Amino acid sequence: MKEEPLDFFDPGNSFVTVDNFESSLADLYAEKRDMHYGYSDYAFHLITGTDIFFNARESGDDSRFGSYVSVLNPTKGLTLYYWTQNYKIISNANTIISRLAVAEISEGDKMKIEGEARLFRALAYRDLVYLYGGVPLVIEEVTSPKTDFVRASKEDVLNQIVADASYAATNLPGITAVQDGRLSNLVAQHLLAETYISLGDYNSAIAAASVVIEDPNTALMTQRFGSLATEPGDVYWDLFRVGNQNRSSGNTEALWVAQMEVDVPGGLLDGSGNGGNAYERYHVPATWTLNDPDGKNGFLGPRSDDNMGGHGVSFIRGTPFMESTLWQNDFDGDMRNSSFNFKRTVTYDNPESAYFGKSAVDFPGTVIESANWRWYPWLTKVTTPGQHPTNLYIDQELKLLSNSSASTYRDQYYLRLAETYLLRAEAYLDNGNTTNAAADINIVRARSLAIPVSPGEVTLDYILDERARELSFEEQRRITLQRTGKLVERVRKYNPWNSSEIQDYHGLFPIPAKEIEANINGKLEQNPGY
Amino acid sequence: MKNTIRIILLLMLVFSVQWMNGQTSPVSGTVTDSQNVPLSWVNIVEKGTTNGVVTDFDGNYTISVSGSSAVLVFSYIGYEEKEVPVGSNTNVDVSLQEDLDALDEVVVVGYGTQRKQDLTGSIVSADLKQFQESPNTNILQSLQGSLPGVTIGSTETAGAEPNIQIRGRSTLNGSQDPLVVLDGVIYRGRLSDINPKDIKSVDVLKDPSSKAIYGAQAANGIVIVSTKKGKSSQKTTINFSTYLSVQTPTQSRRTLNREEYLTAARDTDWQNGYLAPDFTEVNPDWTIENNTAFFPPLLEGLGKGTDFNWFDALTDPGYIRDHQLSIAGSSNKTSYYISAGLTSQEGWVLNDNYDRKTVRVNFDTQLYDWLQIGVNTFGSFSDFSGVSPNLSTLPAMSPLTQPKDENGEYIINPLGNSSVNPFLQTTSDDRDNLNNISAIFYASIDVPQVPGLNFRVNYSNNYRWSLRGNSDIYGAGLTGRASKQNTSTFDTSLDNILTYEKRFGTDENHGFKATLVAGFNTVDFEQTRAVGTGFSNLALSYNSLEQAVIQQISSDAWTESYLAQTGRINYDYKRKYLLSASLRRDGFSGFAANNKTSLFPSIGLGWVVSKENFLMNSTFVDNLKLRGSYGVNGNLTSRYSSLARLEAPSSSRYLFGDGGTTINGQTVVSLANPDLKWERTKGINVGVDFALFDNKISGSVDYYKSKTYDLLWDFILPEISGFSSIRSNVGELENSGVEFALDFNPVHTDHFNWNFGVNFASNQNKINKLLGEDRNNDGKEDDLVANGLFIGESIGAVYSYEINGIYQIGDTDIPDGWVPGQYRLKDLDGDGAITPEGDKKIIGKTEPAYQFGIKNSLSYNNFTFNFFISSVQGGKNSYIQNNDPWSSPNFSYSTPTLAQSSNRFSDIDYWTPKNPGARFNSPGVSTPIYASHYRDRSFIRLQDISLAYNMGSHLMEKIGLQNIKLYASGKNLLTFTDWDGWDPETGQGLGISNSGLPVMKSITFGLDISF
Repeated sequence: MKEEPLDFFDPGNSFVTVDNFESSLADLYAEKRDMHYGYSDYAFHLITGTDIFFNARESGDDSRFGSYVSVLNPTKGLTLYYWTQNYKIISNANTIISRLAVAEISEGDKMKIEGEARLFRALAYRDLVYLYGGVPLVIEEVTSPKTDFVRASKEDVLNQIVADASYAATNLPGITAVQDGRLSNLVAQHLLAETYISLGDYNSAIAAASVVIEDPNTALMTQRFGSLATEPGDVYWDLFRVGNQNRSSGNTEALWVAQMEVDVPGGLLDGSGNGGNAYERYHVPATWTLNDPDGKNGFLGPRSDDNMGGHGVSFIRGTPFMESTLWQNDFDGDMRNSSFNFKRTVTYDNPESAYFGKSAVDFPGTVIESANWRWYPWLTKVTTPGQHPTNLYIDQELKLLSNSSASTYRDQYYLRLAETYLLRAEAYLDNGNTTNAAADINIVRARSLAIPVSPGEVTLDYILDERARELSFEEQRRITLQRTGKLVERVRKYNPWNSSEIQDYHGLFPIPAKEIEANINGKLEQNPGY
Repeated sequence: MKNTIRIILLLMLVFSVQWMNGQTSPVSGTVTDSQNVPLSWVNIVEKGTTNGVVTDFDGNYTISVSGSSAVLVFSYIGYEEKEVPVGSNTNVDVSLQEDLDALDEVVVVGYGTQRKQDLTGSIVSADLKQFQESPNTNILQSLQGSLPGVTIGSTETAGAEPNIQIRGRSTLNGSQDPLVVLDGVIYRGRLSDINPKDIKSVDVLKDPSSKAIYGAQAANGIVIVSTKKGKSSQKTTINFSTYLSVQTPTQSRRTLNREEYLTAARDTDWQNGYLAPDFTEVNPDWTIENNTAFFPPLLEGLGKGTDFNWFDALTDPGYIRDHQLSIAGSSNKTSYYISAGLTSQEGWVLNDNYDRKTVRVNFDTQLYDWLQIGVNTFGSFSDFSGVSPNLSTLPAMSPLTQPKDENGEYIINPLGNSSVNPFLQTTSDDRDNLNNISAIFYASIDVPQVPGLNFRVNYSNNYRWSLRGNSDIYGAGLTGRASKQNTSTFDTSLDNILTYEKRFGTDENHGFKATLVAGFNTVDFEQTRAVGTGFSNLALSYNSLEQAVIQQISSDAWTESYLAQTGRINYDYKRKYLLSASLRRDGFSGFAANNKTSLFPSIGLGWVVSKENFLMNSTFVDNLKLRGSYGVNGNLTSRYSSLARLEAPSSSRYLFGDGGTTINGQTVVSLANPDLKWERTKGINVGVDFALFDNKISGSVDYYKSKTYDLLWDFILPEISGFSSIRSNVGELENSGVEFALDFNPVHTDHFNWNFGVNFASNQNKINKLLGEDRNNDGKEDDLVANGLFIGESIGAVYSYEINGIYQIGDTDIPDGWVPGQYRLKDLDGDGAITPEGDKKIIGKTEPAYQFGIKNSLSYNNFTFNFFISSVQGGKNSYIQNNDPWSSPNFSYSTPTLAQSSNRFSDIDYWTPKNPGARFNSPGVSTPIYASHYRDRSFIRLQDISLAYNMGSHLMEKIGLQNIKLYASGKNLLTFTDWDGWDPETGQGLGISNSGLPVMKSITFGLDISF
């Protein structure tokens, strides 16, 4: 009558060897990557509906964050998604930490494993605290049913992040000592810097950010490099070409990179379907659906070139602020707005069209005139023209892509040194030192050959603008805005679609209704307004 | 039910043969009943031989006997057997006495049989004859609606296994399937694998005491299926039967044509498609080209005038062809039943195919006076090969597009978006075989020294395996995908059954029977699967997966074991006062360490009132029995559910660095519950059986009530814990109900017989207790809202928002996030906002209020006319189900683009400015709170109707045949319901879903020959 599982493991004896723990850590990496880049609409909901991106189709549906009132209802899936995903990471990290205590492996291994697990826990609480405010703190392994959670204060959560990130900063190896894609002490320091800002401890924030910046192994990339270094382009463009994100490509700017490979187990991306990391599909406009002024097809189809940008479907569009206002100051000088990085034209490519080779913006057909979402300026950092996986091509010569082309087929930055500079600038600003703040911002701007900012111009809004220029599609914009308390204000100001309906209380997600209901022995206070 | 048994046994007897075989003394005569009405199909056998005949339609017979010492045995079900020495007579006329007590009527109970008259519980026997002309490929379909308290679902796809539920749902998360016992042994395979034509009887144990003999697996009821055997002293009968059935949907639905579709696109975008303020006048500036998200292929089709009906192209009337051959017979010590069957069904949707070959050999032989051995064995080989079109996209395909281009090639993405041509998967090379072989060996020893003592061993092995293969050149983003999967389940059981039966005392007034059983059962499961993608050449299909660039393998296995000991005692005094008691001890590997075994007792009492002196001579009461019983039953949880699980799913894999090596991840996916217990159901059943007015009216009424404790439940946890739920025991629920079955036989003459019957069942389900806590201090126990469980309500309670019409243009009270055309939800707590805390309420339940069936059988000479009406009713607010035209599991009109460009069925009454009084909202809009309509599923259905003609036996005799029957029948010809969409019984509504298939109605023509 004794029951022996045949095809799953017993948690009781699966945390013994270093390999066991490595497997548990691999799961944390995979879960984190899945949360932000998996094949779920929710994965891009931290980016769209903000001050810089909105639903290109201009409709109120939930799947593209069309309406704050609707999508942020406590009964909806989005709020439960980030809650569940992050708490699963926390739970698995807790299990690792508690099992580690009794595992018979070397102290060195233990510290490294615990450092990684605790940093994942800190990163999960970081998402939660900025999205939801103070949330229940769980830092022990849960081995029996628990239904009496209560919300901790925001400060308690931030302090827990500091505690975990500090441990990781001390015990994790340096960036050159870890494999590409693995957490290093610098990620912990960056997180510490951000968290200290939220705690109002700006000196500690500056100190932590400085550790990252002053690390001899990190530097912004200022010269052409990587897989397409000899092609026409610029260094900012190089940062986003296939194979150019890991340190192995010579990239010293990357601090932490989400690893992706096409058609390899554990690589997330699927060369034949909906693998995830779908920014290309969602951001690139559906140019291939346009007709020419004669009413004929103006385009051959979705193509892997920088005219078309791949198989776009026009879901996430830059707000007018993102498309133009942001660049007005230095439209031609800022590399990030160069024709390599921001596509502002499109040319008919169907040889059968009388307008072949002519600009569809100058010679619009009826489709684009009535539905301007079918084409709009777009950022090349989400796509990989000419570098799509081979089996996605229907016609190799014409670079025609099949409908399965769905992803940005490359690694994604979780953290890049440019962000650390902007973070330290924020800390300096908060500390009243606009000179140093401007200096940090200008290091980032200098790489893009942009006009320097003067200390007098530096405000939090300016930093957020700079982050938009530098880090679009990389930072989880919604978290940045909620962290800085700027979400509602900036959405109202810059997002033409959501501005009229966003409410003051939308600066935080609601606690999911399901959690309030299931937590029968405790009370989870709902966020105000919901 | 008496009639049922008669009919089944009668069926067996008609297989008797009546030709001469070289014997010398002919004897003939007529057999009549006590009223001098001739009896046809009476079995006449020369005693001690296998020489036998049956009477013809006029009760006449002729038999050649070995000589004057011959003794003829006349037997006919429902009549007392009679032996008549022939002597020198050449004419022997016999009158048979009706066996009013039907002493021989037996039903199959657990580990044995029992006289129906001695039952103390509630057991119903299926009237298989009533449905023998229906094109039922599964025996359950022949039980549908006809047994009170037994609910059997409809099926939609060819060869599908219907759901079955007995006396309501007694569990939350535990197994809901009744236990099936086939020829005395627990059977875990598909009932579809048992050829319905091989089945002699189906008995359903419903009450807790009858079920208790199966202890831990009994709570959901027991279905006992017995297959046919050869009868001793029976001539060989060869039977051939065949039918053809043509099937079409019970509901005819169609998708919109081009013009309607284009109007719908405008209606969906009514704010722009029509002119303010009324939005009833068309906005001339609005055109499809300019205002919709139609992709180039749609616009192209618009220009070309394309109007293609996708739905029509992939559907066709289905049919069933069925051929059966059986041979039943016996020699002196040995009897046999051998059959072969071939069923092939082509569904209404392309490639929804089902082919089944079955063979059966049932054989037994009396080796010695005291030893009988036998084997019941069958093989069933089903083929479901072929992939049906993707029904979750098919009805949504735009009529502006076509599946093939000018060159006749399939278009991959006809809509221009990522939606794949639903035709593509139908072209894949597909194999889907399910096989089942089984052998039950038994030996029965009548211990010579102790009369009445019998020892029986049942040893059963059942092996079920499936082979699946699929190869699709369009798969994996056109790179080609092929897969192969092998699955097998091996089921072994051994039961040792010791029975002692004796009557003793004065006039044998005391009847005593004891049964002891000890047995075990193990089930082992294995599965291996391989998938390849990226083929340069798929010519070898799924048989050379190593051609794939990307190869994935996986395998699974599980094992479980059961151990049981049972004892039962039956006692009666003068067959008037009845007592039955049993006790079972059960063990199951799937339970937590501390709760591996448990005891399940039962007791039943009966009083045959009609045997009392004061009723013995009653002129109108033929039978009256009161009975009552109590029993405890258990219910299993699924295996391994008490253990914590650590899994290594593919989604946990990761790799580091470009070109890095994959690392397998591991994650804890469930919490352990070492205290997980059996789910226990305790219940009573009281009933009365009666037969009145010379058996013209007979029937039974039952009332039952059962409570289930320690309910197995996936208790919802806050995700904060890292887990969604934990399998636990909570609370208590109750089922109570009334059932009755009435049979009328008002006319019974020589040429004309009329039977009709009604059955009725009503079950109430109620949750009595959950956690037993009152945290909000409102004086009553708290509900588990997150779990959807409410004290005092049924499991199927629907907790939702109340829809109060639809917001109209010009309404001034539309809250933020809502627009005209969307449901107006009731603000129940009046706080001005719609919230889950304040505005949800219990709006009804999914369970039916009651159900009934009406059967009718008329026979006039050689004609028999049967029909059966089945109905499930919801009353005021029961039997409701979500019917949302826009959101189904596999397809949703969630965005304006999808709502405009996706086609839909023409029968959806949805809101547009011109249709303000619509039933349903308009599609493509997200609102802060999502609510959808629950609708009543009540229906009345003419489930079966048949006309059969049996050719007269005079004619048959001349050509050496025993019987020829021709019949025509209709199934589901009429359905009356207010439900919208495919079918109320399956609950398939208006929306598009992968399983959204209609129930079929059919016309069948059949032929049945015996010789």
